[in-house]
Amino acid sequence: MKYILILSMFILSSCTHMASVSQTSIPAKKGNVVKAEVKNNIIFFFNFSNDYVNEINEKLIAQCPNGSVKGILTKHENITYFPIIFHQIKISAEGYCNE
Amino acid sequence: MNKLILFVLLFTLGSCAHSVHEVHIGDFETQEAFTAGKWIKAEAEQHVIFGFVYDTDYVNIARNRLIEKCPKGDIQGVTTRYSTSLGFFNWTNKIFMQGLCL
Amino acid sequence: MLFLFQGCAIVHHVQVGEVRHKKDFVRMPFQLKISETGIDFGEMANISKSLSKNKAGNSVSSIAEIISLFQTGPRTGKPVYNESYADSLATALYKECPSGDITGLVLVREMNSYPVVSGEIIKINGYCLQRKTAKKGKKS
Repeated sequence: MKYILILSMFILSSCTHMASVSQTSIPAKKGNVVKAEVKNNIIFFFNFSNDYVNEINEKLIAQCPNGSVKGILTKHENITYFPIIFHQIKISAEGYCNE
Repeated sequence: MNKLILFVLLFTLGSCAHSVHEVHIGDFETQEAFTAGKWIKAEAEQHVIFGFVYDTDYVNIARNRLIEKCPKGDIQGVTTRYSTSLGFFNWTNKIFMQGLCL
Repeated sequence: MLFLFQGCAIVHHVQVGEVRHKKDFVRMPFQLKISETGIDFGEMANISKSLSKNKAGNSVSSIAEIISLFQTGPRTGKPVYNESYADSLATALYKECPSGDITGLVLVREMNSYPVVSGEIIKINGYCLQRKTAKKGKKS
């Protein structure tokens, strides 16, 4: 029983579940693809700040400084690396840079 | 007869239950009326057994399928539905996208 | 009293869109609500187990438990039997604002929860931009 529990914990590690998804209007003219992601590591479910989310906009703008970023697909994922002990929240955004 | 009714009830109520997690709707920036465009749809799904799932690529697949249906036009007001069809220790995550191709 | 106090309104997800302004246009507000009934057989099993003392009640809870085993998976709110109830949003928006000039969309995925059943609701508030009608002025 103990070995089955340890084995299942290893198998369940890095399981990825999606929390939310959104897609904005997609333009006809599609420039370069720009991608950005932010991550937050959570130990024992203790999370003290969500300010990391604010960085994703800055990362997208840095890749497209003289244009508009349109057609953005945003994904909010929960990744379990070690059940109960260590999780990661990953927010990724992918869009087109039109200059 | 009672056992037959029970079996039918179990079969119908046990399957085909779904959970709609989220519906998102994109902005409309069009100067044209809805009737000027064509509504397009795309779907993708991911089958999960016992909760073992390692990626969310089905979302990107749904988006690419939507773009393929309107490669040279604007796609406005993209409605995204994220739902799960429940089952016996296995389920199917689904993404449904719909937009106005102008 | 237990059943009366069980009714709860729960918000699962909120989305706020851009608010645009156009000269000579006025924002006419509208609201749409689309809903479906959700049923939780696991909750039904627990309630009938705790309330009933006879064989019939126990068999109802066993059946409900078996059905709930066939409904495993990630959940938001209670399960529904028609997942495409929200797919008519686009058509409903067109009826509210045929011009397509829509702004300020706020979408709320919420639930009105009662014992065993729930209303799984998608509510949209928005504005339809319509041209201002010219005021009749006095001629000198």
